Amino acid sequence: MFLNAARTALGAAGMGAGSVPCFYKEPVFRECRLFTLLPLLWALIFFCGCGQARDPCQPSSVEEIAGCRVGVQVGSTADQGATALLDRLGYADMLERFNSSPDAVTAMKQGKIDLVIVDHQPALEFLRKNPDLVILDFPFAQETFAGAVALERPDLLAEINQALIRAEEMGIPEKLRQTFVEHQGDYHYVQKNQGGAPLVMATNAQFPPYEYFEGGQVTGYEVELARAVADLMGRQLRIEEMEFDAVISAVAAGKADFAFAGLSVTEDRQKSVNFTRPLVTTRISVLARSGMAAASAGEEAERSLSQRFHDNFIEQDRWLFIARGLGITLLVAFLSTLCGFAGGFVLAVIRSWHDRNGGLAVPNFLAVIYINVIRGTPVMIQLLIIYYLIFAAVDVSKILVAVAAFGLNSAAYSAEIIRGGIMAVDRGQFEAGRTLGLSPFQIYRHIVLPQAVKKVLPALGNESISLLKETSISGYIGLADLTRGGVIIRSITYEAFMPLMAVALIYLILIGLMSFGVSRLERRLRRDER
Amino acid sequence: MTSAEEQGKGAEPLLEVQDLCRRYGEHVILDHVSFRIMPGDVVAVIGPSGCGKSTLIRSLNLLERAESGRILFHGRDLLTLSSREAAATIPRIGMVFQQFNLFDNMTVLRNVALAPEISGGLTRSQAEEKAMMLLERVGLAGRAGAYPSHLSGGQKQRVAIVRSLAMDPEIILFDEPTSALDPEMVQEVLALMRDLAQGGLTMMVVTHEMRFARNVSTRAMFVCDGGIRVDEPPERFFEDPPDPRLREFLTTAGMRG
Repeated sequence: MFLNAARTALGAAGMGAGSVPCFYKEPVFRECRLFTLLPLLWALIFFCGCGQARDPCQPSSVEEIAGCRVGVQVGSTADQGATALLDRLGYADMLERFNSSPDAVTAMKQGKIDLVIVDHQPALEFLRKNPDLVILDFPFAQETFAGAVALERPDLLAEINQALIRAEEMGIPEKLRQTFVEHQGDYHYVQKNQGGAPLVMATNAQFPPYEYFEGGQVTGYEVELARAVADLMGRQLRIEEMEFDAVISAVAAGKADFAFAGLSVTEDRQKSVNFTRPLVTTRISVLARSGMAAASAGEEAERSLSQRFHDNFIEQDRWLFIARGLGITLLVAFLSTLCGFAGGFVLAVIRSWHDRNGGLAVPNFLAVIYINVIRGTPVMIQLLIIYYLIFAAVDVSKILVAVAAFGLNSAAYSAEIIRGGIMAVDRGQFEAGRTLGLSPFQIYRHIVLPQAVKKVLPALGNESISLLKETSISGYIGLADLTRGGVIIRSITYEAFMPLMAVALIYLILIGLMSFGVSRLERRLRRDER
Repeated sequence: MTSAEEQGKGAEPLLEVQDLCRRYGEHVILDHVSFRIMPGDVVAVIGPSGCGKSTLIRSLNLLERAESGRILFHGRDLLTLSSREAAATIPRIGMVFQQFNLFDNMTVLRNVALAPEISGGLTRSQAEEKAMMLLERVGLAGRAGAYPSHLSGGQKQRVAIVRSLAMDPEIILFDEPTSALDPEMVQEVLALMRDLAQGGLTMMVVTHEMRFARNVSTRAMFVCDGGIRVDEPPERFFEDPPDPRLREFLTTAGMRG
């Protein structure tokens, strides 16, 4: 389990994943070891995928999957099925869990894994866009999707079920199936109800044809069905898009009223949520590279850069994901920097006041605990705790949640920076103030703090730079920040290079500008001192 | 010049120290020190390094906390004052530090005007007017807008003295005011101190400047091993030292051949 998690993490790190395939098959091993000596070629492996030259692994039954490197979407039914199967067969370490199935498909196209186990309809969608893939003949398993509602809300469950029955009577699911699954006809359900209390739906729009992004909007079979359900309930549908593994907990925690997210009914999930009537009955399929893999990879490379640029950013205005994400990243980083500085300032004054003048024992004790807890836990965990535990019952904007999490985190770090600045102010400054009859408060306000702030401004600038980078985990609470903008484009185009590089470049530019600002500030402060 | 004892006869002592004790762990710094300072006294405190001169002078304005004894300022014991009362009394005992301790984040003018404004009850313009007047008196009005880092050591110390004067102190304590200065800056500071002494300001000066002590002080104290071993008018102190340790010290310091 842990090993797999580590492997997945490595996979996300990109470079590390390039090495993983190399250790399974002998002939490539030596070649790859040579590569480890040559960092430049490592980069090559990363982009081309060193497994590309290998024979595709094409099993003819479920049991024969053993020995192939298998990718799944973390937390999906395919994940559970594949985990059980591979554990039983003793190949548990051959399973790689990805954040989304498009990620898994991308990894397979790059030769990092051999098979992707995924629901049948998404598999067909992948096939449609990637002719170098095949769906293997045998089904991996059968499954049923249903909506999820919190255990504590049986009334809502009954209402949704009723609405679903009426929708079925009206033939809506069948017409939607024609459109989205069979690609016949052009029926779309347009929501009529624009008023009414909002009905919040949690989903993960990386699961075509049930839910996916098109033209910057979330759409798909289940999404339009949800619109029909909301209409029939006299409610207005609000969609919260988030990581797949966050969907169930969002419903259980009351962050969303219900979820349509291609959720299979499983025993484990039934402990956290109630399921609605079945929305879809389908099978889980196995995707593999076809024999044409190499040839079409060649074609891929031949597609001009401008064509790929067009696909990733211009087509359907996909650049908007990045532009909007950039706005959110900047907003979150800016506000949490402000909160962090303000909080850090207060904590630092308490801490240093205690150290210098005595007193404030209780606030100081609390501040020490706060700083140690915050600095002793990953910011990612803090973000999840704030979203799922602290704001569990309250419906607040995710931006606010992110600002709170990153602000509280930054406060602890800023506090130590500012305290360092205060303690670095010479003792003689305090003594001179005291001999002139100034109170400790006046000494702090007029003499010590202005000097301390000046000393620590560059360090605080650097703190805000790290904070900007830290906000890139906002996607875990479903906030569509810059990083997530890239992830969404990647899930639509199945291309890693363009969106990741674009996002990296934007961060680089932002941080370059901030670093430039900080060094200018440093120079100016130094000059003032002379 | 008459001795302080005669001058102060019948008058109240400005500052009276009784049985002051201070130790750092086992090490006794001040061992039952007692003395009194009359208005107009200029007391030079002389002695070897590390013998408690600084601790003594810093105890008088509570920068160091004495463990026992009394420090009577106009008859009131500073050691028993509440912190608010102490804050109101301490500025009447001015202090000039070896390291100047000017406020680095303020101009010369603000350094001087800050305390009169925020704890001395003056308005900002009154405080700055007063500061300007004092700076003019010491010839530093032209540097009023400068930051401390732009001043020479001598200028810094003169500003520090002016800053202390701005609170209208009845006595100023000087803790080795010229020890951190380059030799060529020493005289400008000593000259200002001489002017202040001649103007009748009560002063207590820890110093290694023997000539200053000899010429300007009304009394000289020899502090050694946690106590005041000699407290005499400078003529007696320097010409006819009554204590063998003092004789030795003065010889080493080059004041006696």
